Amino acid sequence: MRGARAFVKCNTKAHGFGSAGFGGGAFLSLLLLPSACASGPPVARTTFLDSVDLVEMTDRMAQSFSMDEDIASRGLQSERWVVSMNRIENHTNQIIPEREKWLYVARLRALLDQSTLSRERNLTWIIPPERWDLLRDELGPAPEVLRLPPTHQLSGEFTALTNTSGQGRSDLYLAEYHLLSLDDGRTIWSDHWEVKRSISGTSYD
Amino acid sequence: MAYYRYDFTAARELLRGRAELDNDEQKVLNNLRLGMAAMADGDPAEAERTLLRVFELLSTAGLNDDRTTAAVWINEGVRIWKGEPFEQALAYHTVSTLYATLGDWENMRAAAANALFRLHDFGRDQQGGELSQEELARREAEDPGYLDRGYTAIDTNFALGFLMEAIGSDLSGLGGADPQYDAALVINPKLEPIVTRLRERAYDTLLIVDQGKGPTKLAYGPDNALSRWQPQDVATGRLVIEQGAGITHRISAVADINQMAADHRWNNLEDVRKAKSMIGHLLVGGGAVALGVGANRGDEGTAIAGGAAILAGALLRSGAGADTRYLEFAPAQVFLVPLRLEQTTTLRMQMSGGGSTLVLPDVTPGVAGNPRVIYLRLHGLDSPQPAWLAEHRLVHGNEHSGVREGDYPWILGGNDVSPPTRATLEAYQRGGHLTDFTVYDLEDMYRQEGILIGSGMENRPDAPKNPSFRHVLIGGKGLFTPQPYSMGFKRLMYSQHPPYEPVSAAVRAPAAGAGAGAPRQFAATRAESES
Repeated sequence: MRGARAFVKCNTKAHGFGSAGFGGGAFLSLLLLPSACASGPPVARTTFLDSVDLVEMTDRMAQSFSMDEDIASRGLQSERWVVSMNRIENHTNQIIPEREKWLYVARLRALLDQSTLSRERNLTWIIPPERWDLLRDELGPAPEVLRLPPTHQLSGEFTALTNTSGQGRSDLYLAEYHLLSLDDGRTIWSDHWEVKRSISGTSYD
Repeated sequence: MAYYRYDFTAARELLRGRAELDNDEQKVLNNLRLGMAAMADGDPAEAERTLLRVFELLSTAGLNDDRTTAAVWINEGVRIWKGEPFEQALAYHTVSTLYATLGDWENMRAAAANALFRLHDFGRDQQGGELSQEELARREAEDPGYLDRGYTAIDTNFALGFLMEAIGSDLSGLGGADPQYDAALVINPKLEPIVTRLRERAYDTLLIVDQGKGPTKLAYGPDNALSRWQPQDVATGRLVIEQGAGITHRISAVADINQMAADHRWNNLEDVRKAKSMIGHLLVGGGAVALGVGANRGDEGTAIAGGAAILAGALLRSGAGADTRYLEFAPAQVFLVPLRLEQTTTLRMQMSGGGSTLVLPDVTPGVAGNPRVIYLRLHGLDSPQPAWLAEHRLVHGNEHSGVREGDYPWILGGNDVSPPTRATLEAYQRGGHLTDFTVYDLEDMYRQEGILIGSGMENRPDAPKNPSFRHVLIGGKGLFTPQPYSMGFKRLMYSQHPPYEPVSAAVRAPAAGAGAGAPRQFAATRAESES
């Protein structure tokens, strides 16, 4: 005990601590603080495009397509357009899996096909020729006469301007859609949709 | 460890449960491990599913912002593991590699671009050498807050990331590859031969090789508050590749992970560990003083306060150990090898420092502008060297190689493990087997054995999930072909496996018969059972 008192006195001189220390309440808060601060499971919070964007984007493009002058001027007697589609091209800094690249165009096509627009404008939607081989294994080879050659192609291109720092990130996305004539490469219809996303917080620990 | 025994299937089985089910501070690490094992095993579907989770979480801002205080007071293990900056760059590179093997140049570029974040440079030590953790700790102790402001933000020196981004930009048609190639050359001028070949598209095949075992992370110092990286595989030399007869390449690594780990610019979290250790020492001293004074004076309140401080200090010190979680599957070196094969070619490769030989027989190249990309995981000298690494002879026909003449299903005594498609059945029938079968009958044969077509999660609610990821050749329930030329493909298709043990009567009887007659017997047995 004597040795302990000597140790305490030495330390008192060395560090200049008085008799005041932490109160009982502070002690309890110290015990409680860690559990209060350890939060739930990791949650992804990014600037990436998501399903809400898919819906809004394709809804707007479907509206734009149906109101386009060249499209609107067509009728039942117009020369049939056989429209294929291609997946969007991803030039952003976000990973967009292959299946989702097709989805961004497929939903637009589905919206246009649901309404009477396609029938009224004499548009026929077909499975892309690139995918015919995938179906052949399931359904057997289809007679050539049933494979309509496409005259037009619906596709899109996504780009983004990304800014990052240690404290956050922002992405300005530009999604462009177009309907191309396969005969001469002419753009029949095009429109775009854009959005800016930003998040703050340390980007790496 | 199964991963380092080239048993990537077993490694995945051990990792899958944690990666799929646990949603905790290990989520990024568990999914990154599983994704890397799946890539080596040639399963891009599982690799993509897990690595996309990693990509999303690594791209999340503030993932640990509400856990900093808890980490200081308890232990850094409560923080969500994101890895040191070099591990994060490696993770993005792994995602980029996955998409390269899938020919998805756009996503290859996008993933690589995320690996090129800026670094914090605190300069050099007084002798002009690499800054140690001790020196950084001393600077922080002398100047609190130094670690938050004493650095210069600099551009990355991750040349591998620039090369991957450039390849993706070039092959996707986006453009902008030239400045990225130039940036890689500024970092490492010795990359000139590789860059020239890539820039000119003078390749139809690209090998991305992770070699050796990366460094291990160790805690040391007062309260084990400091951490350092200990290399495990060093000086393994260059990658020597024999392309057919007469052409030999000697390739230097594009990325040296040991070097990155030792560079303070590629590390993080020192400030928290050091601050925690220092506060712990001070509190213990102060607490002991208050307890002594209070006890002597009979001042119960002071004594309790002093005791609280001692306990708080002890709590801090007990949690002051450095976080030693790390990516155990990281390689020691990464090689990027553009090759022009022009025709089906056998590749033979070995490290110049020794070790086993890997043979890739009959590699069919891509074309310039759309190359075949192959990811390979080569281990170091302390890993076993299974015989299949050097095997030349294909044992099992598969979806990639096609059904060999006269062959028939392995489960009937043949050697073929192609999935049941129209083309597969037609090939069997040309050899005189299963001539009265339809594709449905072929599928039904596997169904009766409980064999699932494709690698993936079993979807029946009460069935175990792992067996369908394991190939039937090695005792599993999946019938699939791993990515051609992957380590998983080589292991399965170039090894002799024990004969299949049928479970259904329809397959058991004919399979017990002799050789080529088995398929005809299966058809007869099935006809009998139907009548």
